Amino acid sequence: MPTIKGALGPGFQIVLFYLLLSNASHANDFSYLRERDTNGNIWEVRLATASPPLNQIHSWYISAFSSEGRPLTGLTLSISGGMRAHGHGLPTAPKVSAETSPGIYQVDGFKFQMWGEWQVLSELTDQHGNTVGSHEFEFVLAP
Amino acid sequence: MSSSLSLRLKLAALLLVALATLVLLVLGLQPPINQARLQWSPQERAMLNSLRLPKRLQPRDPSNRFLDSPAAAQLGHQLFFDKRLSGAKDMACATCHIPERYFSDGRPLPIVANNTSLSELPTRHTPTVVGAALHRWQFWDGRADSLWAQALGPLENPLEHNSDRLAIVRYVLNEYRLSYLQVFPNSEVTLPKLERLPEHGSPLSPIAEYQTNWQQLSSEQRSEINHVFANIGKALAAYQAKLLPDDSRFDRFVDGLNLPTDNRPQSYLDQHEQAGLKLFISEQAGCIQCHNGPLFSNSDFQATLSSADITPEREGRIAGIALAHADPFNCRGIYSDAPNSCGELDFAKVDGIELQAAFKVPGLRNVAKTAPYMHDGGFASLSEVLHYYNQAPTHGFSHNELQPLRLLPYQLKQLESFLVALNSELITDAYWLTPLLPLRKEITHEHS
Repeated sequence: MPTIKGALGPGFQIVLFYLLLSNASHANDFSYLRERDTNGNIWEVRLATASPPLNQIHSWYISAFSSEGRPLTGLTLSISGGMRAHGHGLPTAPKVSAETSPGIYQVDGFKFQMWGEWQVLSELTDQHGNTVGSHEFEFVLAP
Repeated sequence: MSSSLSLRLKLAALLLVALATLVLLVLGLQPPINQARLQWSPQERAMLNSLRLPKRLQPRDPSNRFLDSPAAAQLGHQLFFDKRLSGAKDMACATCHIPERYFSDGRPLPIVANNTSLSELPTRHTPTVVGAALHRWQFWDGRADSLWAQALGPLENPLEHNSDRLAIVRYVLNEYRLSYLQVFPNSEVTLPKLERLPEHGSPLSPIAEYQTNWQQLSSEQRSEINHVFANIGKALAAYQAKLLPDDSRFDRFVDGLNLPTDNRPQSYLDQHEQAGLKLFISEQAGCIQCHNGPLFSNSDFQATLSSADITPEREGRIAGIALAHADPFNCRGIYSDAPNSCGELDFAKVDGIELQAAFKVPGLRNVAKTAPYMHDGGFASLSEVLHYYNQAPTHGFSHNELQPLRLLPYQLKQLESFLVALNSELITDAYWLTPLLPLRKEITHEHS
């Protein structure tokens, strides 16, 4: 099972470095959130807006593909997360509403109620409860 | 000689003490002498802009399609100030939400209905209703997911209006029949047949007879009554949606900062207030974590543990969210106008230690006008609140979201002066701030 820290490849570190240094207007532009976990699976997040809104319920589209580009489909996606630095979790309980196309999961009910650094952990399990893929998105929510 | 030496020693000691005191005073109570104009980084400016009040405030609630209805606001206006809506005809919404006190009551805990049969006392401080329509959750523990659902609570609360559902519906349909039918025109066919119903009845009443009366009604009758009752809440919400804050000096300061050639922002907030604002958005003070956005509230729930007199497992958001889910007047219920768009309710956390003893984060606009403070009204002044957050005692609770801020006394004063700079008038026309007098007696069907 890939570790959380292990999932943060060099590409992600460059992205995070960029996020921290870039100016506030696109500090958390999600079009950059495309990352690999230690198994080589490719994870991507798409939103209806450039970045998550503050204090509003919204949806994420999380896609997961194997290193060969095969969609990780028909699996159970569970979401957790929070602000590690503050020691609290997500304020809501996001749920998958649909797999909109193979390997792309619509997750409703995200909300972020504070500015700052958030972690969102996505985990895909098969029908036996075995973890197929797991990845942590980390981003800075800033005005 | 020895007495003279002793005197000199005593004097020297006194001088030392005085000097030390002076140094402490200068360090602790006075800001460092720095008259230079405060600079604001791009990140800080972005944060300030995120706190600025929008040019047009528009409360939204899909579950209440009458929120923007002028006729509903008119009806709600009358109901808000009408004492005859209460069981003893002596208490209106405005009894505790006093317009001259920024729609709060200035008391730690609210006054109790004269005719209450309960011996217990209220435990929650009266919050202002200004801007309440912009919040997603209502009551300190978020037991209502809309302002119209909230408005129904006090009407039947034995400590507040202390009336009952049948009496309230009967009163409104008699006294305000024309207004009611004007706001809710399609409802006449389903209006309850009052003449066939008992005087009193409610599923929530502490009076057994009233509960029995309610249980003996048919489900159709109950639904008809509930429908009118929900509409009363929707009219009250439409009125309260008009009670909104106007720009404060802080907002004008932000506007000035956005104009690179404008030197005026300095005149809107003085150096002391600006230093307080800088602290407010700083990591060290951390106020901005919860008091964010244009209302200076994230509408979420936090365990501030301001009182040791609480049972964390049973109070706060942990209780409120369970009540919200069980409330027949919630967004999902049959009286809601948008039962399929209830994201806040659908995705709210229902368990976890974070919800224990957690209470709603209040907005801070005009906070200086709404003392005392906290969910239990436990602090008399802003300086007490700031002092408390600075110390952050845990009261022995395992779950503690506060950390000592380690701010110096002068910094607490700067924060306080900034909070006072959030004072403003209401955007609301004065017409809405007083009762309509004399109350026009409507011609009702029963009298005609």
